[in-house]
Amino acid sequence: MATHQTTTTGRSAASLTDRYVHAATRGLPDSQRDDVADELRASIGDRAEALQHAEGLDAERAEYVALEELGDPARLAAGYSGRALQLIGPELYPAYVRVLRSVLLAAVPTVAVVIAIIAALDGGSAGSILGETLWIAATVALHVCFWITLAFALTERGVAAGDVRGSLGVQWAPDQLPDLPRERSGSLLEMVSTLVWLGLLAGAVVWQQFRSPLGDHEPVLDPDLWSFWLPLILALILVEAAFEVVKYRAAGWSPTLATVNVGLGALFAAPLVYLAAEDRLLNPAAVAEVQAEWSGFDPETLNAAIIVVTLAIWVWDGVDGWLKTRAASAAA
Amino acid sequence: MNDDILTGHLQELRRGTVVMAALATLSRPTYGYALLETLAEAGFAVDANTLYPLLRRLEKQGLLTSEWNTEESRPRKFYRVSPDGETLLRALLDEWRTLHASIEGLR
Repeated sequence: MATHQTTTTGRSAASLTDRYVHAATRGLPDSQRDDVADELRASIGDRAEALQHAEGLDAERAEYVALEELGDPARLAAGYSGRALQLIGPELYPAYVRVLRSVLLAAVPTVAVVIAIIAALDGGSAGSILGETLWIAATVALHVCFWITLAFALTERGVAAGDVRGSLGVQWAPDQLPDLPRERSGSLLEMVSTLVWLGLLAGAVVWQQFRSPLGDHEPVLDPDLWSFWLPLILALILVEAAFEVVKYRAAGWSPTLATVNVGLGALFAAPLVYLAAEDRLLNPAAVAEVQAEWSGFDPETLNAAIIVVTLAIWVWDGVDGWLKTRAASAAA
Repeated sequence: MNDDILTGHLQELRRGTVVMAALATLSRPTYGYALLETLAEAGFAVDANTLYPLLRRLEKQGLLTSEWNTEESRPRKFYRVSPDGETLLRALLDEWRTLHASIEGLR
């Protein structure tokens, strides 16, 4: 319903009340708008009149104070239309935090590791790889926050279908209760840090082939190993990662897992030790490059060091698994 | 105990009684601003921006009926309690008395 006001100034000379009423009733359906607007206008007029009599204000000031008392028209509009005045209310908030936390924990580290590997394959300095990984991880976190918040805000406004509500975990059930934290069991930090480390290791194996710092990108490891050995090592890294997830899901260490851990460690260490002992690990061209810079370099020493470090890591990791197993069974 | 705590708890206690007070007052047809004044005098201070939408909501629920009166200086919407509203008021008052008796019994 448009009202045409012809004024001498040429600008709309709508009163404050008109503007207020318009703002408060704008969002209402046509069928109600005029009725609510007329009533609101009368109520404002009544209040302004009362203020003039009681406080001795002039008409303009009385109108102003009356509107000030009524407060933000958006609040009034929400009252009339029954809309929520909150993005996510107390009913949904716990589920919102739960979902947000679990999705962030699942998505961001995974994406970060994948991106780091891809960036390493593409080549580039360690700095640029780190920068790209952090940037994309932050972007993913932002997206996760935005879309989950949007889903819950829509649910709050009752536009989400039943199956959406269900998938958002809005209905809390006792089954959702987290386990009590047991001493050093199923540590998320342990899993995430190990997965990141394994990802970096896999990335390094690939990266040294394409972007080695030696000479003209001379691979550090013998390229012949790609026919069998290096893919095997990459596969073992995947198996290690899977083991880490299984261990987390199983809520921590157990004798079985500790045994498997030692076996996996041996599988992982064996090829490295064998190749280093046979002097098949290092790329002869790369060794020549290093020797050109530093004549005292002896690949035998490096091979010995690789063997010692590999065995040390295997022993330490195996013992660590058993110690944590004992600590977990003692705490249980 | 400071005044803020007292005021807060009293507000909390009165919040649910505004509907009762409005239904009780509206046995006589009354328009929005007059009802606001009447309630304030009776000690049910309620904000205008709460009361006006509340009247609409009660009308939607069939607890009030309304009628425009255009004989006065400005046209006003008069609300009046409906038979359903009276039934609800009786039920609320019964509950009110029961609660009062229960609490007295607990002391």
